[in-house]
Amino acid sequence: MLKRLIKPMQPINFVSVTIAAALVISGTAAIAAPKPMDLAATYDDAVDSDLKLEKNPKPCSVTIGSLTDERRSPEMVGVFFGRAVRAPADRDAWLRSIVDGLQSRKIAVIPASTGENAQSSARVDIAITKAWVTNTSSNMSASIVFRVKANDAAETPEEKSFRGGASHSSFFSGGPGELQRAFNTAVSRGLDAMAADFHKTCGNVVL
Amino acid sequence: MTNGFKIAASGLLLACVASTPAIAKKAPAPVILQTAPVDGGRSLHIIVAQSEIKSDINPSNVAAATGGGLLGGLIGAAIDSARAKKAEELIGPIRAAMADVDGDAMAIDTAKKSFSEMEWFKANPSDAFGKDSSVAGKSAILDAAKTKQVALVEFLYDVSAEFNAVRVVARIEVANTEIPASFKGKGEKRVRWDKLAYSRNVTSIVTFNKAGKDKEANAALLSAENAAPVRKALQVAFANLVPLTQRTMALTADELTLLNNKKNKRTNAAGFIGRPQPAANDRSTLLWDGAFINVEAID
Repeated sequence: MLKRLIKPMQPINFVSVTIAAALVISGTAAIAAPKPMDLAATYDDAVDSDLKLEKNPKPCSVTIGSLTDERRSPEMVGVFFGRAVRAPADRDAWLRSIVDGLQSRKIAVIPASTGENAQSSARVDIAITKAWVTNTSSNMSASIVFRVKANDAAETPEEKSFRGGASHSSFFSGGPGELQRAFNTAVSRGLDAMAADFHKTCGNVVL
Repeated sequence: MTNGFKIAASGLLLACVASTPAIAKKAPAPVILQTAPVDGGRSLHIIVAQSEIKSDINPSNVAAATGGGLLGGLIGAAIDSARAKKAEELIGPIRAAMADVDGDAMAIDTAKKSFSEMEWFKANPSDAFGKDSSVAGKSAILDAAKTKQVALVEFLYDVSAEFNAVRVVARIEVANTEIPASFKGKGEKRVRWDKLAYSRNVTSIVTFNKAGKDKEANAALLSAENAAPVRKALQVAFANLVPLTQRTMALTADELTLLNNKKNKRTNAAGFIGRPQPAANDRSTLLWDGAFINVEAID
């Protein structure tokens, strides 16, 4: 059975990784614990969307019944080279800024609380179930997972997960700015996946 | 120091350190927890820093092969970076197919089952959970604790570099909450490897019988059917951790001596060299650095 392992798994050298990370990230203060870094307070929808629609798509909108962060440790987004990466303190504002990214993907976002146009658009509950940044060797990766529950009283609720991920080498660059861009790219891709599904529901063709 | 340089230097350091295991110092000697009670018991804190399954790489040996010089280290770091990039590409579809999988829940369930029968846990039953595995984060957990010691149980789960196995590790660290005067107020020292009361890694590995030599083909196999093979492997690996953790935590010094009998020749299981231990089924269990490692194959 063991002969099937062509190359053995590398035993995790936690001590080495911790020491190396502490030495490098903290710069001159080699024994000081690396300080946490924070994601930007709101999502910046500046990353180009990969979503491609037919010309002149029909108007499409969603009514947001609820918008929640269901992660078990919502104050955290990950640990990057031994350094904690924290989510923004005002997570409600952060979540709203993320979902507002649907607007640039031609989805009109209507909060249920406004009572506006609620009859003609799909009503959904959106939750963030994963938001993560990490490194593998010098490679950085980021991801986000949205769980969307279609909340139509007339039908059985339908639940889907949409994931966005980004990964790239950070060998000769890095730091909070690049980490933020990687996370924004992951969010953008997650929004693309969610918007594509909404557009299909509206009868639009996603190319 | 620029961020870019820090990252590059970190890769270099990781390459040097990871590829020269001989310089890694031995973990603190095991304290047999069952026979070393503390007043008021200990508390348990579960940590899972990741939110999705990680990828592993085989670290380059260039740094060691070239004598650990700067150039060799840089080349090794570059190789590791390329390998990590490839691994991230291959694991993307697996992560996408497992978007609904809750690894945190599996870890919490495993920890509760593993520790629930221990007397110190019964005194302070808790499933406190967090995702901050940084030194500062662990130190903050100790600051907030009301017990004299805290058992920090950190879970890590990943896919092997060849995409032919899944590994789950429970890193168990028992740390004192008090900051000795000799630490001069630096609370982070409490979680330094040589200041811990106890530190062991319990490992559960599940290999795939259908996996071959081509890691790209293996990755495709693992992501198929909504990543069913990885889902199953994670369930098996987490479940196997429970008896392994209980056995590890219950070890006495006499048992360790017995299990380390030199007549029981060391063998290799998934890269770990250890003495094979009797098992009730066809699983392969090794004693490695004072803890157990289990390897099981699934279809």
